[in-house]
Amino acid sequence: MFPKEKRDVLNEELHVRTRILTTIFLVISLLFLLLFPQHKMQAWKDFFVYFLSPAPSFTLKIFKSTENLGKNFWGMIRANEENKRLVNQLYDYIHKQNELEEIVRENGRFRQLLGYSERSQVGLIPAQVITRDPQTWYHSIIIDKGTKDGIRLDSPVIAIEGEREGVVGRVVEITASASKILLLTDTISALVGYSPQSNYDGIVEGKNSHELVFKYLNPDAELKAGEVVLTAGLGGIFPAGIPVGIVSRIEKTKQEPFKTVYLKPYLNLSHIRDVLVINISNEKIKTIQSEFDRPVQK
Amino acid sequence: MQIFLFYTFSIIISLILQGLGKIVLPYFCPNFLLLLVIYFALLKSPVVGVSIGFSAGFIADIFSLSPFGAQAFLFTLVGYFVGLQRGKIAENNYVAQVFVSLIMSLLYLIGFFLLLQIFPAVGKKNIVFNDFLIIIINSILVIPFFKLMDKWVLLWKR
Repeated sequence: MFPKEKRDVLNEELHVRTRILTTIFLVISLLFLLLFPQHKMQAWKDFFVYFLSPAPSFTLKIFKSTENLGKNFWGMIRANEENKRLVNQLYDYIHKQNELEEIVRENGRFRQLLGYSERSQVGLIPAQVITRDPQTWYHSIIIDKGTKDGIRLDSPVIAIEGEREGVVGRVVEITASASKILLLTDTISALVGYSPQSNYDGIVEGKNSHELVFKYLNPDAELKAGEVVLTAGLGGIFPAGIPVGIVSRIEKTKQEPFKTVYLKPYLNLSHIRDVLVINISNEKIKTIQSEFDRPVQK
Repeated sequence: MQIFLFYTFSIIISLILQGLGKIVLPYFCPNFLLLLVIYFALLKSPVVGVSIGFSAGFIADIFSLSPFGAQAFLFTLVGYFVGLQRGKIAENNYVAQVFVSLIMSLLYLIGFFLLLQIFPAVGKKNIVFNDFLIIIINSILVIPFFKLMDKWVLLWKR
């Protein structure tokens, strides 16, 4: 053991070193904070995401491999039964596809007769989730596609879970090889939702929880539990008709001028691994909006 | 070199734990990176706490939507303040560990909220009920996390 005087000197030295190091790190952090809004740090961020992304994607691989162990076992047992069901389903889909093609042709003829322009085609870019936001404050994911794959800022993102297609979120940060998606469940996420049964629009917002809130609805709107709420196609980001959530509970307050409804997200966003980014230009969104020809609200 | 690898792997493992936590408990995920910074600052030295705090915060900033530099700033401060307590409190006492984790998680939450008001990267956010639950979860998990870290340190000493 050192004598007391020597220990005091060492402690003092340690304190000085800690203070100097803390000051240096705080100054660097503040520089990051001040420079980043000017997008001067974007190239650096892109560089680090490229080099560090294998680490978090490893997490998802572990999760995926362990989760699939049980699934593979039961899958082998059920394979024959599943095969029969899928063959029947395939016949059913072929029949539906033929019907759909006929409807598209018929729709095209009617649009021509009514003088509507051609419906814009949207492209889908498949992407894989690399990681989730390590910060508990935000609900976002990073995907492995960026500007070089044709993704733009504010591009809407959807996913397919089984046979269900639904909204995931939108692109809020983008680099050449990766994009950050703000999930629908985050409190700063909002989109215009539409209830097809009651024919009313409202704002769907995230709550940082397992629920979404469907706000500013007309008090006359009659929604029922289990009803699917879709994107309205307004707001300039999401095309119309994509499922957002399922009505779980309705808040009945007579005093308030608007009705509030709570939704369960249509997809389980915490388990999403593959997404589809809708490659849609602003011009195309405007075209779709102008073509938005559902009946006028009551 | 070995010490550098040890700290690098410690941060990566905490990041992996955080990623898994976000899948299992998406809305109440504990902040393992914060617990890591507290562990090193309290049980190693304030210099290590500050350095780990800055490095872990910097990596978290890269993958997060938070304003770039916010977590590096806050984790550095956490490392510094916890490091100051070294020698003044019984580091190995469970109550002390829970108390430090509770206070630091609360200060981190307030600090993050204030930084977001000054530098709103994606948008301003309010503190919600779940954020307070995360503070409690952090405090509950601090003891098993520290035990795990002790084993991890021993593994590298061999």
